[in-house]
Amino acid sequence: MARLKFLSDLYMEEATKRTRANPEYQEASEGFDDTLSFIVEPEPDKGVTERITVGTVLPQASEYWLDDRPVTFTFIAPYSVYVDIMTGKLDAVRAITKGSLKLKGPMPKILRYVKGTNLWIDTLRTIPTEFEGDFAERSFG
Amino acid sequence: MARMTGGEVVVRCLLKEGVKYVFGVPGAQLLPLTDAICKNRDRGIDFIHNRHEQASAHMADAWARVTGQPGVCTGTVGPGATDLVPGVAAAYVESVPMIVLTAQTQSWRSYPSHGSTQECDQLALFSGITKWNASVNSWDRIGELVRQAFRMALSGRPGPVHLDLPADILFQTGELEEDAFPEPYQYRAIEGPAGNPALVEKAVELLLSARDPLIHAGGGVLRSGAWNELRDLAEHLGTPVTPTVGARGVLPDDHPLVFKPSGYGAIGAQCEADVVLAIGTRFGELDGWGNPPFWGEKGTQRFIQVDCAPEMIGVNAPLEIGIAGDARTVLRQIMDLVKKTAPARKAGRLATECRATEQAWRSEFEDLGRSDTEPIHPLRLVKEARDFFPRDSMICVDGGNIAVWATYLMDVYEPRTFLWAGDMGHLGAGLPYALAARLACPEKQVFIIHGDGSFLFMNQELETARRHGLQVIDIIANDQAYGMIKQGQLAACGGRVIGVDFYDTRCDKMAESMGCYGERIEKPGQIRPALQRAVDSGLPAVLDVLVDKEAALNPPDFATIVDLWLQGCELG
Ligand SMILES: Cc1ncc(C[n+]2csc(CCOP(=O)(O)OP(=O)(O)O)c2C)c(N)n1
Repeated sequence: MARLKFLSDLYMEEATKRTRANPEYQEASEGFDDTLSFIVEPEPDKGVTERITVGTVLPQASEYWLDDRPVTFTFIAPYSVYVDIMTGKLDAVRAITKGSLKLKGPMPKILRYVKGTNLWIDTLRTIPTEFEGDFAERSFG
Repeated sequence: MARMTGGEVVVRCLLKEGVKYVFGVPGAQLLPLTDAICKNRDRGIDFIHNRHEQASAHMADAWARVTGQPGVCTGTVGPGATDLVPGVAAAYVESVPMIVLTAQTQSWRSYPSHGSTQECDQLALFSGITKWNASVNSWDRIGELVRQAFRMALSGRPGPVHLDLPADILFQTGELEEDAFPEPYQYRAIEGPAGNPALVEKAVELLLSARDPLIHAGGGVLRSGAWNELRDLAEHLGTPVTPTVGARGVLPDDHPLVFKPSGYGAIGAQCEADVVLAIGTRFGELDGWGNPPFWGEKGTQRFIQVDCAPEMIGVNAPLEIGIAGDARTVLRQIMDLVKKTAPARKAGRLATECRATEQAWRSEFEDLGRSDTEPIHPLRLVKEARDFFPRDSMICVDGGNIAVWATYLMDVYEPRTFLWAGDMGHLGAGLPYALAARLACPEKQVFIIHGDGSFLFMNQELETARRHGLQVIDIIANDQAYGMIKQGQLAACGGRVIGVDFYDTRCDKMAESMGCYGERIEKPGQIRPALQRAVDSGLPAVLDVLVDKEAALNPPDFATIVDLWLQGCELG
């Protein structure tokens, strides 16, 4: 499979398919049933000029969207932080505790699903992914 | 009218304060003090001598943590005084009241010294790690200054204080009447101060109008003995309670409203609460400074802080209301008002939701605690120890990674039963802490969860244990390394390590050589029977448990801890 541009329409479509098809993740996230947005801040000096927003419903992944919508959980970080997480250099929980990945939303709930969240990230890591700008060389798959 | 040495005057003052033990190592300049203790043994005071003064200071520290009374330690001029320093510093950072007595060279040749052997500017040495210190430069002022020392150690934010006692003053004799030794209530406050009633009223209004209130309890609650008041308030309002690391045990870990420090239940509650009543805590580093991600976004959360030291009010987190006052007194004031205006409530939504979060977080550790793998997983060891000892046992923790592993499953059920020099992180405190705990509570079982590195800092105190017949069970998670630092090096130094690996030391044999019980353990199934044999031996005991070196390196929160400690440092 060709690499898909990180968080593009095609990427989200593939992510949706793989999320639905991962029974281990589905089991760990049972009962989560909530909406999330991922906001990626641009880093123009590293060749990432656009702000990106994507959203979805988990664990169902029944739909996804590429614009700002009201959601329960919002994750915000610069592009480089997402690259570090997707390439396994940074653990998502650690990114939050370090303050490099900001999270808005009810913490007791999301903390209940840390295992599921990590499994979801593992699922996304199976998608051949192409990064932008200076991060292109860290593309994988 | 009785004639007495300066040393006897000191001891008579200590007796008035109910001091039972002075911990130390003797020395020539200390002779009048140790002799006065010897002569007054029948009045209920005794000298516990250690193999190193650091252990004496740690024992005084633990005595205070367990009994609520200041611990007293002593060292002779120069080396004795300098050896006390680490133990005093560990107590200072956790606001533990302590009286540190050092001998000094004669008053006519110290300050400034001009060539005496063992000379040392001990006032300067202790000034940064005590609340107050003074040189007792006249026999006539001994009583006054010892009383001032207790007054200072116990008032405001408690802490260690230091008296420097020149040898000539200690040896000098003079006459004193019986009434030269007043009762403590005659020279210092016995109850902590109340909070400003108008501010207490505002705090109660805020608490009662909150959507999701939370009580964050710090070491100040333990120091002031306010756990019953804390429980009453939390249960009346159905409010979750998050004890700080230094306040573990203030309410039982299995109380439905309690969430362990750094557990996901606690973090969830801390982030979600709209009003936080913080008592006896300054929101230090282990509390994430009162900032996200361990607390709510700025502007979404209102803090009420109660602290006995006005200078600690608002020091880290911006406040809605700051109340200077003793934890117990202010909690009573709050409770009186709450009971008048609000009927008892059931546990709120926040407590229920965070309980589910806590359980999800903990389940992974429970699984590891049941692990049968060989070598032994550190959590299996922690769980075996917790399950074996009674609920009211005294628990001491000392080490790097093993101390982190212990936080997950080492539940604490009673106030003042958990001893860990967490703020200073001073390796070696564990065994002296345990000995003092056993002295203070001879009816309770005492055990230590130890790293091998930290055990090897103060292992000689097993001799002290044996000599005094103090049974403590020292459980060593032996990974033959300074595991925490090794892992830090592996992560941050490109896989290179230096200065972290040990020779395979038989800690059990060391124990045997000092007349204690020792066993080495290599399989998980051996742990429980060995614990039983250790207790049955009636001796101080060391269980030298070989743990899985790889697993031991990686407690799940290791990276977060390193991030906190090295925040702002440029890491590769
Ligand atoms: C007196 C002192 N010196 C150095 C340190 C730095 N330090 C922190 S953790 C650690 C390693 C502790 O090793 P061990 O007790 O064996 O526990 P482990 O990490 O292996 O579980 C060291 C050296 C310290 N905290 N205290």
